[in-house]
Amino acid sequence: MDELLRVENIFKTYPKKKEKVKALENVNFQVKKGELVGLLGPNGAGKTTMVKIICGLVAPDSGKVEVAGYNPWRERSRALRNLSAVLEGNRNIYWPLTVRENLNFFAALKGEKPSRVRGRIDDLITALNLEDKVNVTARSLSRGMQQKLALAVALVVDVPVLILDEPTLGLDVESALEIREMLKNVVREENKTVLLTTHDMRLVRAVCPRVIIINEGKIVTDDRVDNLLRLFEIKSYRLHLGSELTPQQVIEVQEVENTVISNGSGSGIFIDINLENMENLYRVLDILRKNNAPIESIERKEIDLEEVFLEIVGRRGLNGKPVSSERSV
Amino acid sequence: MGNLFLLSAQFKREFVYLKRYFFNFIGGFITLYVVFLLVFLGYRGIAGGTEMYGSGLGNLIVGYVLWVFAMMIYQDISYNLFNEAREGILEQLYMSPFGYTRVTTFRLLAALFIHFGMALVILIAMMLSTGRFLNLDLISLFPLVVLLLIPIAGLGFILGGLQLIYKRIQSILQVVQFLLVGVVAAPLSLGWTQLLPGSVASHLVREVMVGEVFITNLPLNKIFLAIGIAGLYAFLGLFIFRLCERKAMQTGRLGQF
Repeated sequence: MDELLRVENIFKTYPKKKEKVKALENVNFQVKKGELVGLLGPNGAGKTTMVKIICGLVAPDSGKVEVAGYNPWRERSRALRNLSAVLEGNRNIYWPLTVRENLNFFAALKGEKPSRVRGRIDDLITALNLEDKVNVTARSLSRGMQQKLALAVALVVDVPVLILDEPTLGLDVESALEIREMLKNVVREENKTVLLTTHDMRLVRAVCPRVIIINEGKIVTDDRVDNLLRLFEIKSYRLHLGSELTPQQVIEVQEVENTVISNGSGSGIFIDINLENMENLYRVLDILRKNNAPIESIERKEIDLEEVFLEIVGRRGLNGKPVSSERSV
Repeated sequence: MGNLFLLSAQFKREFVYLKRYFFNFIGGFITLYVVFLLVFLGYRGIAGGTEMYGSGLGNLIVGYVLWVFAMMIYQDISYNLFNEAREGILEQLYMSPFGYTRVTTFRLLAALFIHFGMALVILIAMMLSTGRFLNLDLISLFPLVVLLLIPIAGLGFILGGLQLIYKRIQSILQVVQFLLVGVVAAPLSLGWTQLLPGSVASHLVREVMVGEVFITNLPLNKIFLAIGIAGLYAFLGLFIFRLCERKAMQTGRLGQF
């Protein structure tokens, strides 16, 4: 079977007082074996609902989900034998149990004899740098380690489909990097199918060749990251000026189309110029030359995934708030 | 075989919890024992020297130990569900291919051993403290205690299910655990009290422990009634739990706290 995860025509509403709030509307996608797909969207877009429907924890109003060919509602046991998930970061584990006790327990919860997965448990402990903490209770671990343990718990039994909801939320850089490497490995070496929801665009850029962007319950994009970056690529340049502009200069620069002035974090200011029309750059340079404004540097700006994401979801920030209109590019 | 691994994992987890929370366990035991001593002293003050004192004391001991046992089983289902939702583990348990009902039933079986041990120690302590020794005929007692616990577990599932939907109903859970006193001590002569979960079975347990009656000499109609009540509450418990579970999954509130 090529597609291990199939989502077809999913509709979901939640009751709110006497009304119904739309959570998902006609969501369709498939994830192939060995594919790692990022499911992105602002808060409240419907990502977690989608993930929980796949895991058989939230019932859809209509539509169909298949995990390794099994419906998590009608063939629950079979579907769940093919699926593991980390849903609440560091809250997926028993805090009074040690690292090893947690791993043994969750192996049994999936129907696996703990002694049969002992080797796998040891490998996971090593891969996630938890060797020193094997006999430490989960409660005593740092948040990063708890989250790594939650990931290990999801991986303790070798299932083909892995669902991860915000696996790096609140982690320090080092722990996030370890989880990133772990994800790359499970796809590369174990050929697992992974659906990952996150707000961490660096993680997406590093591990997801394909992303599905969901907004207000609908899929707005389903494409390869490279394609999206190419699609949204706009040539633009950033000028760094060593001193402030005069009020007159500001007015003149602002009159140039597709140009944005912003304050630098240190000294000086930045002018971002869109090169859809080269005339814009020449005009700005003329204004600066006329006033002898000191240009510290000129660099080409490249669009990143976060900007693509913001563009797609209608210039709304990751927390659902509108992004400033003075956004560069 | 998977069932065995799960059952074994639940036993290990229960014993690890017992070991890690040992002082809490001992504290609970001492509290229950002290409460009994206070009840006993009050009872002695009221009934001491009367003809009823001996059998009344026996009934008091049996009633108390059955209440402790019933309360622990009831708490094990309802409070554990609350804790699992609060700790964020409930959804993981629901993702077990065995299903949550089996996962929690196996946990209950594992917990039963610990609860049984605790109830037995309390019983012995009570008998030693009061000087009233009761008939511990295990052959007669085992099936009757099972008939007491099944409807109590059913009640736990009903309230556990309601908790999945309504979340913050801890005050009701606490009230119900004290209402269990009435359930295990309810006089069957009222008629309707026979329909309470475990009331007939607890009456039969008293017959064995205080009246020293062997199980084969107990009235058959009462035994069948106890079986029927156990079946009814087990069915109701699981049925209502499933309904609530479905509702929680429809409204997306399963793992919420």
